[in-house]
Amino acid sequence: MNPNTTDPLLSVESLRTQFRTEEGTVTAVDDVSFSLEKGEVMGIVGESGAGKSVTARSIMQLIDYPGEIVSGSITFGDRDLLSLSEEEMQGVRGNEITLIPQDPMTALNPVLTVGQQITETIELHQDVSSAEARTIAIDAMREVEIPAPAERIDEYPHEFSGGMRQRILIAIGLACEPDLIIADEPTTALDVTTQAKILDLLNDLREKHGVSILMITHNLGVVAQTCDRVGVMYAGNLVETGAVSSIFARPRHPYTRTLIDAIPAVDSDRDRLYALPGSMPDLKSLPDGCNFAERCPHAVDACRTGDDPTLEPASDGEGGSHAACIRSDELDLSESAVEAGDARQQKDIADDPLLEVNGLKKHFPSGDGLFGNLSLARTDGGGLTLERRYVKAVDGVDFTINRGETVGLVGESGCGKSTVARTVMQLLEPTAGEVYFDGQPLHSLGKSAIRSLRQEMQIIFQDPKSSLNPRKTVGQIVGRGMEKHGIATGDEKRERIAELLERVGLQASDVDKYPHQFSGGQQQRIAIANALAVEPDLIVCDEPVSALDVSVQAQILNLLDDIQAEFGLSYLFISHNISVVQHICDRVAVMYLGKIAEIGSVDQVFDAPYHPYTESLLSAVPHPTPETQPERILLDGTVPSPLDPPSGCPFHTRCPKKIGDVCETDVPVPEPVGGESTHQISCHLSEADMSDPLYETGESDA
Amino acid sequence: MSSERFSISDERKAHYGRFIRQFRRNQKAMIGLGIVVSLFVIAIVTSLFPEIVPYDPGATNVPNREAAPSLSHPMGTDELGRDVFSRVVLGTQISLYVGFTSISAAMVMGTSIGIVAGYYQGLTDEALMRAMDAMMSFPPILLALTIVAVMEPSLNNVIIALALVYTPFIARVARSAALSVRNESYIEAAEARGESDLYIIFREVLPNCVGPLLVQGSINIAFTMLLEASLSFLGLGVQPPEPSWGLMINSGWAYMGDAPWMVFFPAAAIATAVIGFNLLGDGLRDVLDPKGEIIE
Repeated sequence: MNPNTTDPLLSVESLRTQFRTEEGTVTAVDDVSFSLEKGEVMGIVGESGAGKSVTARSIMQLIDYPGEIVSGSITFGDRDLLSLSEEEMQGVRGNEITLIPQDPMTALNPVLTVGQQITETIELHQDVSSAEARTIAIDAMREVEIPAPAERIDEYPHEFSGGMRQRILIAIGLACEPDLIIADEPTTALDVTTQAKILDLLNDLREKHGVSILMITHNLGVVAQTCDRVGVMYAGNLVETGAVSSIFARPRHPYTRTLIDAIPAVDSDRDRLYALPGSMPDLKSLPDGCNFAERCPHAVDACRTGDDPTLEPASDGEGGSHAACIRSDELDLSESAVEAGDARQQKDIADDPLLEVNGLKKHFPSGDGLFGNLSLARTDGGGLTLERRYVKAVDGVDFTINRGETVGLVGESGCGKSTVARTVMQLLEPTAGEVYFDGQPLHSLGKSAIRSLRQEMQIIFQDPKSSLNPRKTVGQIVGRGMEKHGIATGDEKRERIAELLERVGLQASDVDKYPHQFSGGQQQRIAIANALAVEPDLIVCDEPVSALDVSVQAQILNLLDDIQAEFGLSYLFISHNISVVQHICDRVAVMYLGKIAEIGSVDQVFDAPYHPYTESLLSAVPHPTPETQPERILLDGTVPSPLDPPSGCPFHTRCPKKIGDVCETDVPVPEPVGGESTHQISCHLSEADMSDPLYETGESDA
Repeated sequence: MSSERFSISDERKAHYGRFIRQFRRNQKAMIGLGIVVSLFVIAIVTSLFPEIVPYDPGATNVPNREAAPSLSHPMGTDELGRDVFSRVVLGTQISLYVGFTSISAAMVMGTSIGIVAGYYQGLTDEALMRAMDAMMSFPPILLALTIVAVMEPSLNNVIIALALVYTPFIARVARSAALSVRNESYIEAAEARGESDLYIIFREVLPNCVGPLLVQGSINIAFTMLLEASLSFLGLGVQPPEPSWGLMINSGWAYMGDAPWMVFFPAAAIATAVIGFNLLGDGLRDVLDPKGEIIE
């Protein structure tokens, strides 16, 4: 164990957790040992299926049938948790060790007030009256910076935003003053600006209360920002542990290196990403030797024999790094594995618009049912009138996409980016505005004309599992488009399907398989093959990599990059992930509340002058490098409702650079900045003000 | 099927193999399947070889009426001296015929209505489903009685009535299944491909609703058989002298005190069939439940 371990709060020794399934025994956690000091924040990173969450749940003994902790010991303080009875364990859970779950939208019971849910935990573990419990709950809510806690305690979960709900979950976790908080992907479901605020909150709480945090995440940026130490998991093993700074500066395990290289960094060049080939081995039948040898760029024959290597301290012991790699001492992994010559080819994009969108609007009637969008309103003190209410999801958007170009749409959830995509594709009927595709006015074409044009526009969705019909084979899915648009039939079709599958990195023999037989990354490849099958000119990518692990994300991004030139494609690339957008896009539009706040080439948008919203978005991205954490601009409050957007500039309610009444009364129009007509910002600020870096911005939460 | 010509490969066999394996491990499903298959065998054999039963079901033998079960009449005889065993065995044909034809018709109508409502949503959904709700607001027996009484009691009219009565139940299940499938991205992908609504409804939505529909259908078939028996019992269903289980209970209940076998055996036959189809439906639900698929 760690030499400086004197009195660890939590120590896990040789933990092994297995799941018995129909197809065999899955060893989800295999011989994992680590310890956590009082007041320390330790991150556990790894891809999905690596065993992070199972490790966390094993500590809390929340492993359900058919799972079982087979061996190992978990010592918390001076108690061996595995020897405690279920009843004793209940006294530990939620009291001494608490769990902050991943999805704040489903983790709260919708029929109980938040106060009830916080006091429930307090009354269970502490001998207090309900009035006292309520006081403690209000204090806990104040602690997590929920505004006006005494009034809001009796509200129901749906009255809070996602970020606020995550705060409530943290309040529940904090209410009994635990020694250890296990945070299972606490910010994964949140927008980047909200994530920045929650991470700040966790950092504050830890400083104030000295609580230890075990942070489970797949995001190395989150680790770099919050953790002292980090453990990297792969296929059920802890392959490397060490101080955050030394892990990022000099990883000892090749897997850690590849994880770091796979992240498109905000400030990096547009090089190709390092994409780890293959996928994690099947946990039911692990290979001989090192589990990672199959995908490891540094593997030698010795790696493929014998047992899985165990965690050994690194020879120079710097930062207490331990790695489970037989070559960790001879390899120097401090440099990125991406070769310099592997830069993406520069694209020449002619000014040849494929898609032109002018003044696009899409308003949805609010409420459910036939009469749901009608409401009684009293206008100007007059009588009651029936009024139709609309959600202005997209409210006047203009942009163009040239042939061979990738245009990104970024923004927080609910800003209307997906609606833009669907309206452009005429999957939703636009309320107003014009869409020209290849010179043809889509907005005025009839249904059948649009249907035949569908061949030219395809879409790739966020969730690959949902985008493939589970009852059809891969061949049927990919072949259908060719048949539909008369591209190929019979033997020719079969040949083309095989070619396409091989092109996207699958095998020709996969045609008869069903979608559920593939991993998420492979399913996304099938979706790409499906989009390519009809030989489109434009592919709309709606968050195509958000549901994927970083290493798979890198594979898919590289694939999208490769096929663009090969097939002469244009992309409309929608993402909330700024680093991904910066990596893949030529031009970017930043959306806020149904309007474009800033549009321009990647370099223009991500450099000063900025729209204040772009600036704060950029600053909120957690950098996967512990040294360079920029000052973050924390936005006040949450995105206003598109039912009733603010007057004037939609961003004025949260803008850190608001100049005065003009922001509240006048709607800013996009104006060219920097003397370049391609870079437009909708803001009342002067160019000099937009270029001024803004670091300190007062209080974080209203 | 369409022009798809992919041979049934090992992959596909494996796909169905898993379903069959899980089904075989499910005791409820296997018992239900056993009962249902036996009933079918009885119905088919007796319709091919009617003389296989020991007595002519219509042949009366008044001197030997209300005879208790014995070796020559294992289920006794009825008030006209007809052999109860022969009549119960032959009644299987009618019960299964009525149950199957009526539920098939209900499945076709209910599935179409439900999937169309679930796919289009909005006004179409409201109109169709409110009509279904209106039909469901009547107790099934009352609605079936009304329909049969308006037309005229006959076997075919019973089938039509039962099909109408059970259509809303199927439609409700089809609609909820279609609603969840509608939100999957592959439906949007099909729209983006330029598919017609009909193609999307029948080739993309319908195949993904089959599971719950199969379950609902096999459970409802038990109810239609029960309702057919009730209608026959009330004299509005199968007309004498056809050997229907419900009709046999109808004619036998007046003799309950003296000849309980006249009611007991046809009632036991109804119970067996109902239990069989219910077990099969329950078992199918267990196997087809998407939660069961997580264990991979």
